[in-house]
This record gives sequence, structure tokens and C-alpha cells, in this order.
Amino acid sequence: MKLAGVLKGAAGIAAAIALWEATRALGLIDARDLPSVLDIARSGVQNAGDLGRAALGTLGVWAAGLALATVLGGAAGIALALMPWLERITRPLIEFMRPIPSVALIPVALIVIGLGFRMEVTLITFASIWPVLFNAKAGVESVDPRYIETGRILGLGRASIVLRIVLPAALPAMATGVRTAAAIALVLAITVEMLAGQKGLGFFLQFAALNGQFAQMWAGTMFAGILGLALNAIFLTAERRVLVWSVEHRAS
Amino acid sequence: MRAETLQQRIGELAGQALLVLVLLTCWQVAAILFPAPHLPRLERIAASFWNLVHGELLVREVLPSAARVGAGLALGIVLGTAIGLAIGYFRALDPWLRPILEFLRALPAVTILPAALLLLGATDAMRVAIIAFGCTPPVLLAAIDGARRVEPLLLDTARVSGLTAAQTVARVIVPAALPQVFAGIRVALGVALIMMVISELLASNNGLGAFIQRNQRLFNTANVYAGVLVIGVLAWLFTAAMLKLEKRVLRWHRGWRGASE
Amino acid sequence: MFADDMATASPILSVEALTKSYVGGAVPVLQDARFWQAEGEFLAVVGPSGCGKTTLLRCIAGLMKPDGGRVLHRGVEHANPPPWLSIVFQDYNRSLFPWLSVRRNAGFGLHKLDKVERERRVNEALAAVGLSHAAELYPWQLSGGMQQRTALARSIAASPELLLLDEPFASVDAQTRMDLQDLVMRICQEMKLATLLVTHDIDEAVLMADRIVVLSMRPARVVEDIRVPLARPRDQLTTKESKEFLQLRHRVFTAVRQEVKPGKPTAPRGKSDRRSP
Repeated sequence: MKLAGVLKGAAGIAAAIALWEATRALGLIDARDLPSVLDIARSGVQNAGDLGRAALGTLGVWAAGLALATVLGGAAGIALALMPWLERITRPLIEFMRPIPSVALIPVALIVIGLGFRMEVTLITFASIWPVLFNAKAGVESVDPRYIETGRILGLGRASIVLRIVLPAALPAMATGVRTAAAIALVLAITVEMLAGQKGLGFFLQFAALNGQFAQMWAGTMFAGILGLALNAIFLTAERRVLVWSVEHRAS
Repeated sequence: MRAETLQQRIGELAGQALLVLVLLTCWQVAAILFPAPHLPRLERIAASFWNLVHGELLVREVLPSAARVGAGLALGIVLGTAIGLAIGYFRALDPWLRPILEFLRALPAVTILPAALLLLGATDAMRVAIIAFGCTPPVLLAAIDGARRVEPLLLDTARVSGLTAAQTVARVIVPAALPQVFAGIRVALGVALIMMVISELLASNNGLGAFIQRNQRLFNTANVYAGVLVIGVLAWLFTAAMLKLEKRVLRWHRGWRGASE
Repeated sequence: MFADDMATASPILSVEALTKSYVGGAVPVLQDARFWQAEGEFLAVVGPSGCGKTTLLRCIAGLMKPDGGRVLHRGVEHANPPPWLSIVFQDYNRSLFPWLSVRRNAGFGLHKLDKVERERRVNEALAAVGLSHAAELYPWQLSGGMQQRTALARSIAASPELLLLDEPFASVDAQTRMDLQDLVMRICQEMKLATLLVTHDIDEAVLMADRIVVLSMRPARVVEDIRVPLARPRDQLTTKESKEFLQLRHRVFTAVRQEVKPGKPTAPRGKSDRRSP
């Protein structure tokens, strides 16, 4: 049964490729702008080195920003959940900053920090912090009160309860937040590279497009999609392994 | 964790106001004491903001951005809902399309920008197209999910009542999937704003993104901050409108979910 | 024991050698089930919990294709549920359309009629179940009993000739259940509906039905077919106290209980210790 699914999926991809080639053949889009799938694949292989280096550049800032966002966002979310007065006072501030698309802050970052690694990481962190924060907060808030009562009955102090009961119980929600943040961080990293000429996938794509290397550009785009898929899969697998006990990840 | 009494409410508001006031004061003091290009005084930011929200600038910069978001979002919603409901209804389609859909979901929409620029040039069509490109996957996936999750007894009732497939889709699947679709639309709205800003930062002469970009190059920082604030306001307005619409259309959903617990 | 034959010309429903299993044959649910139902007859199907009553009903309603045997509606095998068949499910809060008012829910199956006729039928149905005053409310605003009455209104608005009921009163409280039982009996009498009631409640079956079909444990077969000659209209109090009621109840109870022996396997290994005569 599983094999049938895989074959069907492959057939679907084949159909998509056929559609691509048909669009070229029919001249709906200029054949120069839309290289054949073969050319794109070939270009990808030929430029594997450059693509790889570009990906590493992107992943470097991505990882740094994501790590910072996880720590800061997680801490902030937990703090807000445990100290309701803090949450109440900062609510308007957070609600004000939240809807601003982080990409709009790229020019601000350029002015305040200038070009470079620091600027990129700062932006990525700022953008990725929100899902982690809100998920951590929601995770802590929705911890089953019975767990906490059990802790109290067993004589655990407040700090103990937080560390040994609340945090682990909130972990699944936080993990989801980090996974979401990972996707956002990737978007930001690539965008900053495109805009500010930082080394990485974004730059690779811009460069290829400006120099008329369209097969290379498309190869880069496909690669970015595969990278996104891979990252998501890695996060999901890690979640499932570590959080095997949680309701969300229990095999149904 | 809501404030219970009036007294607590006032205390809460006072605390919030105090925090905001303190932050603004710090900013202003810093701007006066340590003047720097990235730290303009509040009154200059306010002036820029004011200029931006009325008159010529409003028409030339703000409205085009709003229009692009609106158009791209609408396109994404229509495409995503139609295709998503169809795929969700014809379950057999799923294994064929799953890899492509997952790929589109994982692809950072921004990477399509160079390609879009190439194919459509630096035109409004390009900007609306990539906004729509970004908006479609979340709505599509939500619609698939919603169509799949339709309560089987409702479908049974439709069958026994003699509804055709088309009637079942229109009268049962669409209303039943609507709550899920709206959840997808909320995500799409966020993506729409991002793609609008990106497309204008990189390839446009007008619009808020272009405005910010231009002023950043000229180090007119007050204008940059004002532009960001206006984008925030725009985001807030769109979200509020969306929530209002959702509340009206899904009046029955909220009550139902609440009662059945 | 089979009931003495009332030699009806063409039964409204005929179940012939119905067989059905899940998971590609690993879980047999129905095995050679067979019975018939006359026009206007109130038939109850009872059996131990989990014996396959609902599966049987879904096959009869045309929602499920049996693996073997067939279901004939007025002597004809239908590919889809015939239009004169209606069904009321047990889970009323999952079968009512939450985005439609009571009125719209009731009128759901009537899309082929013109507006005037549709309104007339809906109003009649709502009046019959006593929900005329609540026509504009939404399901989430109704109590369990009212929701089930809405489902009932929806079924009868389509002017059915065969009404299927899948444990319709299992999810409401005892008081509401009695009210609904009276309501269904009255409506079926007035509309001369053939009614098939699937239930695990033996008292309910004896109270409401003209005939009771008893199913065995899985895989289900018909093991008894008992006529209920109690006078109509039947009353919650007096009928249930009568000697005949108690005798019939005893008989049905015994038949069902014999099917629920401790340790009896749910998936038999091919041997059956009871055969239908």
C-alpha cells in the first residue's frame, strides 16, 4: 500500500515536469526564460559546489538567529505565562509589534546596524522570536492543572514545579513554535541576502538572474524548496523522537 | 487572567500606559542627548507619519500597497479554496499531488521573486502574482484539511437526501470546511504582507516598500520609521477586517463548538 | 421461530442473506442475515451490543455495499438510497448541519420541490414534532431532545415511506426518551410509515414495535422473529404494566441474553450452535 502511494506521488511529479515542458514547447512562456528541466538539473549538478557554499552561508545565519530566538522567545513566553501581571502590562507593546512584517525592518536594520552578520542575525532573531514566544506561552498556560496539583501534593516547591513539571509539559507546544520559527527564519535569511547582498542562497539567486543564468536561477529556487522540505522533515523527526510521550506525537 | 474588577482594570491600563510612556521618554531623551541618524526625534517621526497617511503620499505610496495586498490575497483565496476543496473531496487525488503540495508549502515564497521578475518584469502584475503565489499554499492546504474533516454523518445525510456530488460540495462541504479555510486565510494574510513588502523593496518605484527603501538610501530615517509604522497599521487594519468577516460568516461555528463540549 | 406469515404481496423491505465483513474479511460482522418488513409495519431490530446492528442499518439505507446477499426496496435492488427512504442517526449533534437553522435543516432534502411546497412540508413537519416555535434557532441553541426532533422533522418532511432509526434515543435522558418515543409512535401511526428501529433497549422495542427481529452476536444472524400483538395506541405506563408486555419482554430478553454468554468469541471459528429453522 505504501509503495502505491510513493509511485503515485512520483507520477504526480512526472506530470508536473511534463506540464513544465509543455509550457515551454507551446511557447506560452519564452523558452529562454524557462529552461528545460534537464538543463536545470544539469546546472544544479554543475554548480553544486557554489550552491552548497551558498546554502551553508544561509544556514549559518539561520541557525544563529533561530537559536537566539528559541532561547529568548522561550524564556519570554514562559515568563509571560508565569507572571500574568507582566503579560498584562506588555500586551499593548507586543500586540503593536506583532503585525509588523519583519521584512519591513530590513531597511531599519541597515540604518541602525549596517551591513553584515550582526544585522542579519538580529533581523532573523526578531522575526523568529514571535512563534516561539506565543507557543511557549500557550504551552505553559495549557498545562493540565492536575499535573501541577500533583506536584504540590508531593511537596515540590514553586521553582521545582516549574522546572520539572511545567517546562516538560509545555515542550511539545514549544517544539511546534520552533518548527514554525525555522521556516520564518529561512525566509528572512534569503530575503536579507537578496536585498543587502549578503552571501547565501538569496544572493546566489539574484546573481544568477542578473547575469542571465536562468537555468542556474531555477536550480537555486528548486534547491531552496528542497532545503525547506529537508529542514521541516528534520524538525518533525526530532520532535517525534524526543517527544514520543506527548499526545500530539503518539502514534495514532 | 483577565482583570476582574474595575480597579484592577484601571491598574492594568495605568501599568500599560506607564510602560509605553517610559519607553517613549527614553527614546526622546536619547534622541536629544545622542543625536544619530538612526535615532530621530519623536516629533519628526510623527510628522513623517502624518505626511504619509494623508494627501499625495497616501495615494502614491500607501494605496498601491494596500491594493496589491488585496488583489493578491483575493486571488490566493479563490485559487486555494477552489483547488483545495476539490482535492480534499476527491480523496483519491491526494497521493498523486501530495509531494508537489508539500514542496510548494516548504518553498520560501521569496525565492520565486527573481523568476517572477524575469517572467513578468517589474510590473504590478509581477507583484500581485508573487503575493498570490505566497497566499495560495496556506489556503489550499487548509481547504484540503477542511474538506477531509467534514463530519461523515453530514455526508451520509446528503446521500440519503439524494444530493448530487456537485450539490454535496456546494451545500455541505463548503460550509463545513469554512472554519478551516478561514484559519488558512489568516496565515495567508501574513504572507501577503511579507510578499508585498519584499516585492516593493526589491522591484518597485512606488508603494510602502519602495518608500522605505528610498528613504533608507537617503538616510531619511524618520521617513523609514514612519513607513514601517504605516505598514504595521495596514497589517492591523487588514487583520481586523478579516476577523470581522470571519466572525460574521462563522457565527454558527463558534456557538456550535462551544455547546458541544 | 419465524413469525406466522402475513403473506404480504410485496414487502417494503427485504433483506436477503446479507453478509458483510471489515478489514478484507478478517472481521465478519453480518452473516446471512435475512428478514422482511411489510408496508406500514413498525419493525424493531435488537441484539447484544456491538453485534452489527448499525452495519445492518447502513446496508439497508444504501450507505454501505454488502459483501454478499442483497437488500430489496419494494422488490427492487437500488444502487443508491431510494428517495422514499429516510434515516435518523443516533448522534444528532453530528448529523444536523450546524450552519443551518432548524427550519433550513428540516427542509434540507426538499431541494427538488418549489418554494411554496417546500415551505408547506417544512411547516407541517415542524408542527408534527412540536418545533414550530423554534424554527429560527440554530442547533447549538437547542437541547438534545430538540435536536433529535429536528432530525426527525428533517426525515419526515421528505414524506418517506420507510423510516430508519439508528438507536435514536440512546443519547438523551430517560424523560426525553419517553417523550420522543411517544412522538415517533404517533407520527408513524398518523403517516402510516413503515419504520425500522434499531435499538439495544428491549423495553423500547417491545413498547414501540409490531415485530421484533433479534440478532445474534457477531457475525450477526437473525435468531428470532417475534410478533408484538399489543393494542395501539400504546402507553408508557399502562402498556408497560400489562401481562402481555411483560411476557414479550421476557421472551425477547431471554433471546438476547442467550447470545451474550460469557467467553463467547466475537469472531466464530466457522461453527454455529444455533441454526434458523
